[in-house]
Amino acid sequence: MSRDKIGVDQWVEQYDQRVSRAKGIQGFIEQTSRRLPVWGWLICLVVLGALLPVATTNSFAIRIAGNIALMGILALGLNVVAGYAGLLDLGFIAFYGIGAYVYAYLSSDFTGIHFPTWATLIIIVVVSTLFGLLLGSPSLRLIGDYLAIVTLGFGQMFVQLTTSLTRVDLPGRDKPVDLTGGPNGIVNLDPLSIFGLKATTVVHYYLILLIVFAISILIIYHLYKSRVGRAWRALREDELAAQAMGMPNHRLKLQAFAIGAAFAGFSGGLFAAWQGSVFPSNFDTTLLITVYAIIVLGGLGSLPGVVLGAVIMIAVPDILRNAPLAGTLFYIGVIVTLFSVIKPRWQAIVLIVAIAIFGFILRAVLVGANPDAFTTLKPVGALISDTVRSWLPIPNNAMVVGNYGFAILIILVLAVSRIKRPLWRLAALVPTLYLLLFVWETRLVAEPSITRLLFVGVLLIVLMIYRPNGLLGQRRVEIA
Amino acid sequence: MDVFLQQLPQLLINGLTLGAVYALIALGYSMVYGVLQLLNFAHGDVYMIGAFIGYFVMVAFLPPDGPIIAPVLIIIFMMLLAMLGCGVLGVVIEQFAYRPLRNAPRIAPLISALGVSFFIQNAVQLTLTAKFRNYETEKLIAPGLAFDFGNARLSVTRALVIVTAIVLMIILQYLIRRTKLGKAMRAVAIDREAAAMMGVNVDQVIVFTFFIGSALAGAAGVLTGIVFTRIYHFMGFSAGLKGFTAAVLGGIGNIPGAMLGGFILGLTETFAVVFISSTYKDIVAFIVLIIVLLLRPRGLLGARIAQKV
Amino acid sequence: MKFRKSLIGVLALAVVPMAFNSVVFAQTPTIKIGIMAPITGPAASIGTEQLNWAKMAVDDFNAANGWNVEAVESDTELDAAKAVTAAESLIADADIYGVVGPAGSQEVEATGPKFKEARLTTISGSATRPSLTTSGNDTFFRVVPTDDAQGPTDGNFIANELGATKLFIIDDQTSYAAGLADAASAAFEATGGTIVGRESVKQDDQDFSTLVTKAVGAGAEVIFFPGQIASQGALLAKAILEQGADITVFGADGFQSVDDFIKGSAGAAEGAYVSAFAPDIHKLESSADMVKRYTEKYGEFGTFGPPTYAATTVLLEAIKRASDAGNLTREGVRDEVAKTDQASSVLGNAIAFDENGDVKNAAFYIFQVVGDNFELIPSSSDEMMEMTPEATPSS
Repeated sequence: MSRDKIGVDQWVEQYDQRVSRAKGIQGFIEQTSRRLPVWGWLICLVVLGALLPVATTNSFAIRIAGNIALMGILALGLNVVAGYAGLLDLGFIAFYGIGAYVYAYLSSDFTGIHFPTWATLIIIVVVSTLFGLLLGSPSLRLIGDYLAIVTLGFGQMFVQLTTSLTRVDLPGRDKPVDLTGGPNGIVNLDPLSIFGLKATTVVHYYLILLIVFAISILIIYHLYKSRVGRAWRALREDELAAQAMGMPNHRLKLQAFAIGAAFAGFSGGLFAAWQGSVFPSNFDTTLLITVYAIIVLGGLGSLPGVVLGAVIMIAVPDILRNAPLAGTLFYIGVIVTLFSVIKPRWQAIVLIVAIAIFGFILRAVLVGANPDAFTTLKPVGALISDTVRSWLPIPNNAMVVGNYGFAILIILVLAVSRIKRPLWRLAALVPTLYLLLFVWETRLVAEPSITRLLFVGVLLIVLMIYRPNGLLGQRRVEIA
Repeated sequence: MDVFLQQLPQLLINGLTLGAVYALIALGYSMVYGVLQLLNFAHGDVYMIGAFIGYFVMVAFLPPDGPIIAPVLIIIFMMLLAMLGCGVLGVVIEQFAYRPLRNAPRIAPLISALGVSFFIQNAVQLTLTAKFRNYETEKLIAPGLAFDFGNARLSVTRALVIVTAIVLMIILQYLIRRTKLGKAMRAVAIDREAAAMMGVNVDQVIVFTFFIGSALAGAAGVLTGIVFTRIYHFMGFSAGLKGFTAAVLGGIGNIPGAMLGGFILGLTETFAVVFISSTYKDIVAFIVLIIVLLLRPRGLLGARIAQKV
Repeated sequence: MKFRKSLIGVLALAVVPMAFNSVVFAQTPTIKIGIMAPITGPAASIGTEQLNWAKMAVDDFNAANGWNVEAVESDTELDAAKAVTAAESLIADADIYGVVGPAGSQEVEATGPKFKEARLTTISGSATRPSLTTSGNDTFFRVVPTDDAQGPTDGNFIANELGATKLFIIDDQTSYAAGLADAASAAFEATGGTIVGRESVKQDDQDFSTLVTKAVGAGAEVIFFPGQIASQGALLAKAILEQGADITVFGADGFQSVDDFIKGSAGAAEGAYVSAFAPDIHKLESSADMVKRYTEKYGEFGTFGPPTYAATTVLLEAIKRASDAGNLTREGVRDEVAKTDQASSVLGNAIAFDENGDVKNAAFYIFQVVGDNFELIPSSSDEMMEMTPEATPSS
């Protein structure tokens, strides 16, 4: 099987093959995926993606899909900087913002300039690359986490300046000039127009973003396989060794920085066109966190990981906007988690039955003791939720009790995860899960906006603990 | 310029108060970074929890008809309980969110820290709502109580904040320089594996580091409440960023550096407001940081260590 | 590990289509309205208040009419990009006939074209940027007056009634505050006064002491701070008191909160002025019952909630009229909203819209903090009355 290549360690070379000996569904997928070339995958992605607008006219679903593609492009750029070159660039969103503002300057009445889309996009790439070099060349001399803080500062400065450069005294003008529109932003931007066709609907933008996303993956993939790509990985693994091998470290880092910036700027331009306006608050730290979460969840440096990470980080919070749906998903999620985590599956069934019995007994005791203190909740119209609602004893002051329940729940969950003996743990899960259902119905359902962010938080922690290399990340070969 | 000279003492007072709070937050950042090389992004939220613990202790001791015990005691209780609560919280966070990731790639605990931060913020909003709450400092310390120096006025509240912060830092410095635990901490910071081989219980040291760092954040939360009075669920976000900046300014991982960084950041922001504009105070602070880092790439007091191979 | 991985894959495959399906097909014959507000994030204190008032308006409407209108909340985090997604989620739900919000002017700018295309009516209780209604979006309405109307009133009052010649201005970097500050500063300068400082703070800034030191150095007599967050006004007042400075605070709508501004400042706000588009509804006899019910259920509130109640009521009544006329479509609801003619509202004034979607006869009130109350300044309201003959403040 193995063809020895010059300059390649045999162990490293055979790594992929060893991994792919997996059996079952996963093995099948892995085998197939290895046979299919990258452009094959991309065609699949585009074709499948293009089916979405055919399958549904729901503009919300299409917008989420478009957001996934947009964030995907942005994350690809960050993947080059952070995933390949290993630079912790926390000012990345500023380049996205620069791209968006350049688009706004060149396509609105704010400046009175209306460039054709292709010219604007080229200028965006040039400008954001220049900014990348400008920020990169001094700060890349810094070591490790010092780079993080300087770039973070750059990102904050961008937001601050776009918010506040509204009354600037420029030489030659007698009145202060508004450079950025301040918090009001720049509005009424021209739509993208390609070969004279204007992109006006969600579907148009979705298709454009999907194609750009696929092309970006292709570019990044070839970059990864190229000489520069290998040099970046060497740099990431051991900077000193790379330098000793004669690699131009500084130049390599700058290249990664500039390419990342170019991708970010480009996606920023597309974003501005799609939103039709730009505001400083579009580019704050929340977005930075989201994009980092995408690439780390998927697996730092992994291209399919970017796709998966973007789907999770963008789609999950937005799907959770829909409250009845979120309820159903919650119960499905709980059941699926139980069946996958608890090893002999019959135990999971025992657990569910035990919780049900526990609930009936608790309800009988509590309501029997003081029937006036309890009430019923309004049905929501979803089967599982309504069943659970009629089974739980709901106190009159459900909100307060729910809050305390939430605090106790956190402690219980932490405690259960410390119990080592399987049976004890199973027993402890009964009241914990019961409380979870109670808190869900009394508190979390009533506050969907907060709940979905709580979930994102828990998701980040749990995923990192179980898959510290990300969902599709490869375990690095550690040479100690 | 005359106006400025007249105002200089007042500005120093303002800047030092702000700096004292930043310094306390920066200490926790820096200590954790020192032993684990981890940027603990949830640190700002621990600080927020500290402010809330202090608030609820205050409410408990301050019924509408007047304080039950001497106001000084109330302040001491607020500080102690907040420090204790935050210390425990810090240890819990370490146990559950960072320890399993000790040997993971460096960015994994960073994301986990962001998850913790999201969780704490939203858990507080869920249970305590997004309302602003006010420390009733005026019931603890009479508002008019102040030392007047010519044009400047140092209120007792501000004096209390600055003095408390400095006392805490001196205790910390003693702890780290003079006690066995401190020695162990420094050993772990320099080389974790070597320290373990020499018989240092690394896990225990890390737990203590989180406890002390988080307790200092809790103290910072209560002091913020006392002097700036307003607390809310989102306050940890920007405070965390400031603490991080201050820690890096002084040389991350370096204890006296974090204090110095905090005070310099507070003073820089204060003077930026006067000389330039409050609009640009954060930008000025970052430019100062960048200049410092370009001149001294490891921060003001960061030691120049030869890179290990 | 393998098992878990394949399970995650299967789960993802199962969940995603199901999710989209139920978004599309989960249609029950109900009437819903959307509520867009910054429910989480830094502006959550405003957003949750708006959400709670909107929910209460829906409950009241349902109880009074025996209907079962459902309120669907959609969080914007005060970010225009998130607001667009939030808007899209509401647009996609065919049972939604109108939307209350969005809260911020930049969110209205970003979502406007989408709502206009979907013919979905939005009624904001807090977006005050003047250009929002004049840019040709016929589905946008608001129950609050614009910055253009309020800013000059404030600037003139500071110059003429307070006799100030040196004004120091602070905004909180929101489009609301910046717009109001600009309008007021132009009017103040027109009276011959000097602006001795123009500063910005962030909404999470806690320390105002240095700004006060700077204002003292500049010789300011009044600080105009049209912030959204009432507790920041309290912080400013406290910093002034602490340094013993003789400067009057003049705030706008956002500061009209007894709890956060007056009580929060522990007496330091005494004598401060606040201009607002609504009377303090705590004082309105007609709203006393509502204030009581709200406070019992959700706690204290500031200025941003009650206009949202008014906006929700306008929307719900329009839906009812459209339904009665047998024309319950999004377009039908829009037409009915445009024809709104409420004799009185929770804000104490009548609500009707002009052709742009702005509320007619916008009234302003200037209050001074006396004790724990906002006292209406009579002279200011007389002046206002000429502008607004129909408004009847009953305090």
